[in-house]
Amino acid sequence: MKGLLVKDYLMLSAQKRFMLLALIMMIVISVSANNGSFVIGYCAFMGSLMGTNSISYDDYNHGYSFLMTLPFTRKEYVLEKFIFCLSCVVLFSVVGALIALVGQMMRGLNETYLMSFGLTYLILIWIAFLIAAIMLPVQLHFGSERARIAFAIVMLSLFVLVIGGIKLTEGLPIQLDPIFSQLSLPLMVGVGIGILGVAFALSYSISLAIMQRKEF
Amino acid sequence: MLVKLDHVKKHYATFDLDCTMELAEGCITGVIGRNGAGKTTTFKLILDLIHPDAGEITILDEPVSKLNTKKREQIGVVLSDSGFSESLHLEAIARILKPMYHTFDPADFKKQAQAAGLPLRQPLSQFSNGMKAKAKLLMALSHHPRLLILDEPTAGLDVVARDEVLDMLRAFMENEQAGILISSHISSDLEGLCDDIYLIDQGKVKLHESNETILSEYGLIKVNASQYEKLDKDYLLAVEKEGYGYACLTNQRAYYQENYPGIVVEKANLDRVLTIMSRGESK
Amino acid sequence: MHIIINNSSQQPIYEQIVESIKAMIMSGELGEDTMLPSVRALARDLKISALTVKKAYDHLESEGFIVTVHGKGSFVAMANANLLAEQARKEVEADLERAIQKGRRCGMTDEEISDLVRLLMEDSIC
Repeated sequence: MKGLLVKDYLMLSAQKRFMLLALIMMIVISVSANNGSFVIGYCAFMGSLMGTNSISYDDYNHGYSFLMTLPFTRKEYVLEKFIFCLSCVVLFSVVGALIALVGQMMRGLNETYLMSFGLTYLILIWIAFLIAAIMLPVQLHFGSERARIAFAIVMLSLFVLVIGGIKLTEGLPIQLDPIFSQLSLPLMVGVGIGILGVAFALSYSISLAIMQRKEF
Repeated sequence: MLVKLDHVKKHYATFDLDCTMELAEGCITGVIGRNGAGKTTTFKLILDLIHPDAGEITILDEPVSKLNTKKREQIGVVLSDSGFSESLHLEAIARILKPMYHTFDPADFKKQAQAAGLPLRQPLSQFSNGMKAKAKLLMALSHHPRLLILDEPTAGLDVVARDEVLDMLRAFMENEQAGILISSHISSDLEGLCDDIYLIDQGKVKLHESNETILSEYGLIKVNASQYEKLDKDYLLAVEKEGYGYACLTNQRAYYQENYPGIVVEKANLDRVLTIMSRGESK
Repeated sequence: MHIIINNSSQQPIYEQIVESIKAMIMSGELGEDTMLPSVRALARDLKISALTVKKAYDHLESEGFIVTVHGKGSFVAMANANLLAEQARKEVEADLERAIQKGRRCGMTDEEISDLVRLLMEDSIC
């Protein structure tokens, strides 16, 4: 499985140019507009997509036939994909968070900002993890051709969702922050983790079933 | 037995595969057949890429579906139309292969690649077809496997490069527990390499014979219509209609040479064996 | 070991190998107890199937020219350097006898036949 991880990280680093572009764009946005949440969100979602996209790379140019002759089980393959995707989400979202923080630092940090920042971060990576959990079996089942279209659609809708979501929370008559601070944080975190756990368990077993039956 | 297929069946729209085949230790077995005859399907079944509808596939003494990763490390594979992503270069591939195979030596791999004239830091997409084929074979050999499964490993190579590749395979076989299963459209490569040959046509094994026998006892008889009438058909395997009359494949060349001195009887070669068995009528 | 194979010859390749090795044993090029190359090594040099080489080696062994020790290799057997020479001499004797018989049947005298033999030996570039 380690070899698979090495492969996926190497393939990711081949995407340097694209990621550098995105990085610059994020920095610009973070510095110019007061939109830290957008930056974190976009980066986190990009993480889950780059992660699940590794399946397309495997499939590209009939690559799967050769890949599946290498010495690992199909179970290890699925497991590695999960680990890789999650690590991508964490990696990308941390980078996004740092950019957002730096951008905000220029405007002045305070404690309330850091609190809502932390919360926003958690919510956003929670969503990114969920997206990964959904996209993994989808990518495995539908293959790279259709997945490419799915990728484009998802990227676009994410863009819309993130902007829309932020705008929505800003424009609500009720302030969400006080409500959130009243809800028991441990409870929310517990529920959040629980939902993620179920999602991953489901996603893993579906992905495994798909891979066991798949023919290359 | 390194590889054993026992009445393995797979149904496709274009043909039904029904294959029984063996590769013994210390042997090089060649597989010939037209495109779409079922060679690649057979190889994919051996590699557990596709599942059979019926029959048993045993690799390195284990049923293929139960093969553990340690045994899978003993298998080296070259597929003609599939490989590592072409955006990777050989150094990157070495970093991927190292944790996968206990017996992989990155330094040795890089040395071999350089000796073969392959650049280490250029992505595979920039390799010529011949370079890609050599790279694939080096990757397959790099972890010192016991079993090589090669699907068209010399495709796209010029004749000198092919000779070098074949020599690498012969050197590989000096390990007496090793074995190679190789398919190729370049019959002359197989004639100088293999111990026995399987001919697959329309999903079935139409011929399984030792290479030595094909080259020393098989014959191609070329006759016109009237000569064909008088010909003893007992030892003919297949007959194909030609412009001049008939081309007949026999496994008793000496018999026809002795009894029909006026008739053209040539040594058979794998290409002719393949075309007559595939296109002609079996007797 | 330098064996040259004629791929276009009608003579089976394993026979060519057998004859080449016999000739080398007879001429002394391959002395007693010399180890022959392994089947795979020779197959590699000659670029042919290993089974063909094995067939040749099996033939040589059955005729007593070589001995195969399992796990070690194949070695030239001594007794046969002489046996080979014997055998060759017997064949020459048989050939000569046939030629003499034919000569007599055509009406040649014994003197004419032996003169012819002498002439041929002087002329021949063997």
